[in-house]
Amino acid sequence: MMRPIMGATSGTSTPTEVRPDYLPGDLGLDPDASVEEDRPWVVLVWNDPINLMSYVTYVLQKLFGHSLEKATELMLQVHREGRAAVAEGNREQAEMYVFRLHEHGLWATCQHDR
Amino acid sequence: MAILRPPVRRHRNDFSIHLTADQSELLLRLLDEMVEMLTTVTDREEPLDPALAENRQRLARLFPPAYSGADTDPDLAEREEEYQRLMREELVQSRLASISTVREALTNPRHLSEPQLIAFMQSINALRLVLGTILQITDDGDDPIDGVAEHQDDDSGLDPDDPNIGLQVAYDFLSWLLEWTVQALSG
Repeated sequence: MMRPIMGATSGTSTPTEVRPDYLPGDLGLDPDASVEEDRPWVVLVWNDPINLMSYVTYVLQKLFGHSLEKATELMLQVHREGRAAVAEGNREQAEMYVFRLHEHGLWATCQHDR
Repeated sequence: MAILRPPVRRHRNDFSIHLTADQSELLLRLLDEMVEMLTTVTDREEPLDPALAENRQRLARLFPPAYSGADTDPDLAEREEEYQRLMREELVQSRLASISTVREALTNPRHLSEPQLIAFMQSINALRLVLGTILQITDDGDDPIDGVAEHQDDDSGLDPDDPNIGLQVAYDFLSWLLEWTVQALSG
């Protein structure tokens, strides 16, 4: 039996245009839609040393419908400043976007806007 | 020369993947291990088996927290717990479905639709996240033009005496393949 490449086993403890999934507004991401008593939740993408820049840019285009320029700008903000806000909405919408970003392996969280 | 042929190619309506037998074999092996890890480490409780606990750490990057501030705010902590309880299994199932698509594409080579190539891309990226975690990749380099994560100590290239050299080679292979995949999808 071959030795696993990355999994630990018992007893061997060795250490052109990207078409978006959603059109802007499909999920009510328009900030104007937020009501006063329901402050929007912000979706943040955090810098991580593993994800490729080109990959992050593509995912932001795909999930949020950003242009290549906008997605690149956000990716560079993540890279240089450590994080960038990529979307906002109510809590359910923000959580759904966080899930989609997690599905693509990006390090994303949401927080209540201040 | 075959070596110069892009491994992922865009056609008029679909895509094709061109890997050597060795590359396909490596990829399938890594995916098999990922399935094994995903299906044995699915709960949030600390496993008793040391190997499972170790694999749980290795998969940690695939299941990041969803709420900023959950460590200090009890309400957010509750939401975080609910997210992990409800969505972790969704994430596992989503990854297993993507891997299944990739396995099918590699074992029965044929053209792939865009959703299938996206599943391929997600699986390659998930493997990179696990390998990067094991290799403790901590530096993504400063050159935004480069676009490829750099290793912590890659000044002199690969060290043949490094016990992780196999992992490093696999990681570099996945980085190369992911770049081509993103390029093909981006048109």
